[in-house]
Amino acid sequence: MSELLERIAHVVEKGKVNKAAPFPPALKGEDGADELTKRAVEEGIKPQRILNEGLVVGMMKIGVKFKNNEVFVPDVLIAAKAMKAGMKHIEPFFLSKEVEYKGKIVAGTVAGDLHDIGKNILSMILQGGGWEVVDLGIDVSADKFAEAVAEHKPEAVCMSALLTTTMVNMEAVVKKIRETSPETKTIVGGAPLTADFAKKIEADFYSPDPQGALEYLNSECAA
Amino acid sequence: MEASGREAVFGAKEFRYELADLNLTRDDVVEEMGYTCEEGNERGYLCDLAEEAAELAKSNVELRGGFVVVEPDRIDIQKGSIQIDDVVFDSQPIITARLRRAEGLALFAATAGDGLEKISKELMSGDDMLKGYVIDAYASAAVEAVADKLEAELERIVEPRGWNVTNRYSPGYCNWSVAEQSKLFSFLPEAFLGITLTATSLMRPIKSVSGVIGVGENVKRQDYQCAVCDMRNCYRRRVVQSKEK
Ligand code: B1M
Repeated sequence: MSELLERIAHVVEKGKVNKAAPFPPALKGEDGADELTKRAVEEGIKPQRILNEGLVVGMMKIGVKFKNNEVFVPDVLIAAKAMKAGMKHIEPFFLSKEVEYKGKIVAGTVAGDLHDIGKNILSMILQGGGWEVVDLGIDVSADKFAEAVAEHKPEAVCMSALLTTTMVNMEAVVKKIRETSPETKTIVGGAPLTADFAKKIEADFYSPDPQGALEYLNSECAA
Repeated sequence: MEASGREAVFGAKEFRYELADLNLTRDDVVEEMGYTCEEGNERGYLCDLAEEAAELAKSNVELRGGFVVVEPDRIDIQKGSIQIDDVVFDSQPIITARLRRAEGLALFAATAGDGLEKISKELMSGDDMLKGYVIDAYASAAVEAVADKLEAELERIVEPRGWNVTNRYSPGYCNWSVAEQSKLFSFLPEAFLGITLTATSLMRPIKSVSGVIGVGENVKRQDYQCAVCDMRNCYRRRVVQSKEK
């Protein structure tokens, strides 16, 4: 891996957005994901490599640390911001197909539930892992999930819920997706969920943390 | 004497607070997020953001709390359930074990309003997720601090009777179903503190809490313990564990 790509991975992991960003203090005054990704593009490194071997590696590292409780939500958020700053320079190449996502995900918080932070973090980690995420927001009904699946043809639907009274609404989504798009995987998560509950509603996969969902997608659904 | 004493303790009470009344520091908020504001720590920016959130909160929170203390002769506490008048709460053994010696029960609610929630949502959907998250965490800590304040009010009110208070316990914790929030609210005055419940028993504003506190001569407060809760994948447990390391 080139030194520049390693550096990109490092600044993403540390959440260094750009040179002017005040944090992390240890990288004060140094180039961030913004400058380094731009430089990599200018140096002619293939954009797909910049994504896979630079930006995604940085997000993966922070995702694993988050899963292992070595870091907490704020660190994931600044890493995602750094990733986004780098992605700005890669995005034009999606149009020309020089860069491709691993696949597409539809994500949302289920009906009756208004919580979005957990779902947002999930979306960021999946995007950071190289997946395109269509975020349907909060309070998403089974019909809305099904409509989005018909429109976007994702590899998987990711559902989040924060209360036991709302997680039960995942069952209707799983059922609907089974009926209308059997090849689309259903993944569920959120604080009150358990593997037993996921099994009961026949979801394809349950993960207590976003990284687990990403690992499942990478192994089961990536093109 | 007895009548006025009854009135002083039982029935509905409502309180409004200013931020300055709460025992809430930026360090508490940062600790909730898993970090500290100790000298030389590399995440000092979180402490700065928590200070910014505190500044914003001054004009964007509405701190309200209140409770109804229910008289002993209306209460029957069994293993796993609590009956008040003809309403039975299926509050489960972990909680009833801690309330079983209570004479009276205070049903409470508290809220921080929806001002910070709105600001946080806007920032989070825009370009400042981190600031949005810190503001959200600040609002969560603020409503918990209002609930702490309520516990102190209750303690002050029942103390002349020689009564103590238990910890607070909420529907949704320790296997007590969140759906029972509607039963709890049925004992509180209509539109209490401006809180409404959705069909899925979610309180609006989101930054609200509800629950029950036992009062009586033979009850006591216990240290908050993850041990009584069976939620394994809880970030609070992870924060506690990472501090212990
Ligand atoms: C598809 O694949 C995947 C994979 C992973 C996925 C995924 C999908 N979706 C999520 N994940 C996972 O990844 C994300 C990133 O790590 C995570 O997403 P989360 O959304 O879980 O995590 C967020 C990033 C951070 N987490 C949070 O913001 C929630 C943290 C905890 C501690 C929490 C908080 C802070 C609060 N709360 Co309360 N609260 C709890 C929470 C317990 C916990 N330890 O999680 C929880 C959610 N609350 C609970 C309860 C019961 C309640 N709360 C209440 C109130 C509050 C506060 C106001 C004090 C505060 C803010 C709440 C808010 N919604 O803004 C009440 C409800 C409020 C309301 N409006 O109705 C009340 C009902 C209590 C009451 N009666 O007052 C519990 C719900 C369980 C249940 N029985 O339904 C709870 C799990 C706590 C517990 N130990 O039991 C993972 O779950």
